[in-house]
Amino acid sequence: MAKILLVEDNEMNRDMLSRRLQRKGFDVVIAVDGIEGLEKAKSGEFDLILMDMSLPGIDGWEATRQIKADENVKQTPVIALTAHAMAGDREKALEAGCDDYDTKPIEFTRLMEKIGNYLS
Amino acid sequence: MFSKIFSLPISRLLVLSMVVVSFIPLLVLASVLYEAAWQNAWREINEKHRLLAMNLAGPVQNLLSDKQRMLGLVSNNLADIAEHGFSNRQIAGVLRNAKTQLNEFDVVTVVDHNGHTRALISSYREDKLPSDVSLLFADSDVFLEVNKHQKAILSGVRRSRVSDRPTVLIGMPIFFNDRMIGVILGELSLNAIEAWRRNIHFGKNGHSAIVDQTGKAIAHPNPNWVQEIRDLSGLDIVKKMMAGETGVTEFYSPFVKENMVAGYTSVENYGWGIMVPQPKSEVEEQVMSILLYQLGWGGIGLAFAILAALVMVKRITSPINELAESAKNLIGNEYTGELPIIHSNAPREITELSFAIIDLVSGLQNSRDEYHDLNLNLKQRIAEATAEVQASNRRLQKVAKKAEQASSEKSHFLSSMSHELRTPLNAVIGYVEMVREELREAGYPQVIADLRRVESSARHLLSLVNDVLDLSKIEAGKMEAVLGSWVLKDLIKEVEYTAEPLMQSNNNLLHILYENDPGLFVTDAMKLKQIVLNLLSNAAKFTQDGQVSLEVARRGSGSDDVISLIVRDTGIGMSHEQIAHLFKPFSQVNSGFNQQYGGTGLGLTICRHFCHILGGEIEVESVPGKGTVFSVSLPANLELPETHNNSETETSKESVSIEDNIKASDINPHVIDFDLGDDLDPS
Repeated sequence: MAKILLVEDNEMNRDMLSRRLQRKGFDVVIAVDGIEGLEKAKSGEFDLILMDMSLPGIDGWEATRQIKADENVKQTPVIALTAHAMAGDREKALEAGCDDYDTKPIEFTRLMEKIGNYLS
Repeated sequence: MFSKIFSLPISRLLVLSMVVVSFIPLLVLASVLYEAAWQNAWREINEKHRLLAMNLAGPVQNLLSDKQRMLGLVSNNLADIAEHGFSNRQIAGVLRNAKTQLNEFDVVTVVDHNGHTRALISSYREDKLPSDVSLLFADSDVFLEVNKHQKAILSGVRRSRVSDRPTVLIGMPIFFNDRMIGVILGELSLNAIEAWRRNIHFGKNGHSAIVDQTGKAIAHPNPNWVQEIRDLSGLDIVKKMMAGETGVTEFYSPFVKENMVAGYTSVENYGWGIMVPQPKSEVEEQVMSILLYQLGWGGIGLAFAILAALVMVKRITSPINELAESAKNLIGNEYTGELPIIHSNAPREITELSFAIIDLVSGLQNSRDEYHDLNLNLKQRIAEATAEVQASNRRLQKVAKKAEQASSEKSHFLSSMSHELRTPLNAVIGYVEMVREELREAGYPQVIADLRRVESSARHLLSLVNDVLDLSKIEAGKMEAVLGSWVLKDLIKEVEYTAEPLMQSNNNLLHILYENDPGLFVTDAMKLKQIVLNLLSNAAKFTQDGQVSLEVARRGSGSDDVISLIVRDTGIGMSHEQIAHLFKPFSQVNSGFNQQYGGTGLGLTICRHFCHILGGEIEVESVPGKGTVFSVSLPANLELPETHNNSETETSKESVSIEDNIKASDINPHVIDFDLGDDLDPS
């Protein structure tokens, strides 16, 4: 079963998304901030990382940058999740090394499609 | 030419005018003076020449009458001796006795009535006399006249039969007992008369002349004429004298050979003429000298007048010049400095002019000062006003900055607000979806229906938030077109698919009508879809059991092509007033609509903004109760930005901008969950 790291500081979103992913059959590990997310990501045990961009501690862009700078884990796909529906955020996310991104509110079907692109 | 003359200085003008003006009077004066001089000359001639003539006439007459009387006395003496015989010796005795009385005669002779000379006495020497004088006077006209008429006769001038010299003869009868016994003849000497004549001479050629009763010269300055006894009766003046007149006249003198003026008279009883002529040129000279003398004085007077006038003019012009000079100085010094004070002796008018100029200048100075003050005042006021304007500009700038700040703050607020709203909504929708799935699996269809309403409301709320976000971005100027080249039919198909459920909810039929194949369309696909979907959703919302049509056409050909999209419904329609407020934000036709139909009222506002962003326009026509028509026209060939061209064609319909990831479901207020089909699955 594919293992997904969900880095999300909002408790409700984190809970909702993790449960829905689990319902779809994924093994979901959660992290509540950038530091924790980075720590867990570096373990190298994940098939995919869903990274919220606005995080306390270090933000999602910085965390992604560090993940992608780590030779051991840089191949892990990172999908950025951002509520900033503003032009430029996508570029910013891709610049930081994200493989894909999706905007909040999460359109679950769409997200599942994107996840599917990396975990087929 | 005249204007040139009149612009001369006054002094020259005056001299000129005086010369011109005095020329005519001087001419008149000259002619008057000339006339007067002539009159004077004539009067003088009258008085002098005529009087001279008359003065000469008196002695001549006296001489003649005296000599006639003398001969008469001698004649009486001869008559006395006739009693005692009338012998030649006795007669000669009488003559000798009377010789003293007869001294003016050159020759006196007694001739008897037979013509025989009886006695003769003469002042000439014996040898000068003719040898035989016995019948010397027998044929003499004087003797014959006296013999015939027996009265005294004075002859005209003639040559003496004794001396051959010019002489006049006086003949008198000698009576004895009333019988004429002889004639006594006297040849009068003309020497005395010549002496008198000679006494009268004046000027250069002024003289006198005497003619006898027939006009022959008796005494004349030309001795030859006297000698030859020249006949002057042809001259006018002589004719006048022969006629016994006295007066003054002009005549041409053959002797002097020029025109003469003369006084003349005739000798009473004897008919002789006496004239005193003078060459007219002499008189003219005299007249001219008098005239010149008078004119000379006139000229001197005129010169004095001009001089006096010049002095006066100088008195007038110099203060005027002074005035002009000081006025010039004043003007040069911008009306500061001494006022034009002039010589105190200037004429009154000039003094008054000076006072007037002083008044004028001081008036000017006052107004200049006032003007200066006013200017200062004005400058001050302008400065104040400028400062005020600047101050208010600064205030305005502050206000504008504040407004800008406020606007930006508002946009930022709305943007972050919608973001903050979306996060919990995200959770709500997510949980509802999740719960619904779980319930479906657990088999609670009743609760699922309620949860669908919850989810629908949540999605509606989300669409409101998205609209607000769109509007805030539009107002912040952050909304830009992201252009790509699209097959329009594909885009319409997507919209149609999305709109279909909306149509079904109010039991409407949707028709897509292509007037022609619109082909490729360069536009911002997301915005275009949002526009069309919004219009369709509106149409579906306000129409019940009716028709909604979307008419698509490409108009024109080439680069100026326009894509026309017309959404037509058979719904409730709108009044003019409603249409007027249609595109204003938060202005759904009335508040009741909100409750009945839902929606933010931002949809059309955003539509119109998007149309503008895409370079087009949206228009609306509506009839209440009949339906509404929205017409959108957009340029078909917006210019693609170079940089985005490749990436867009490569990524095809994938968006360039993050907005494009917002699908129709995100942006339309009335799009509800399309996964419902699954939920409705009875399983």
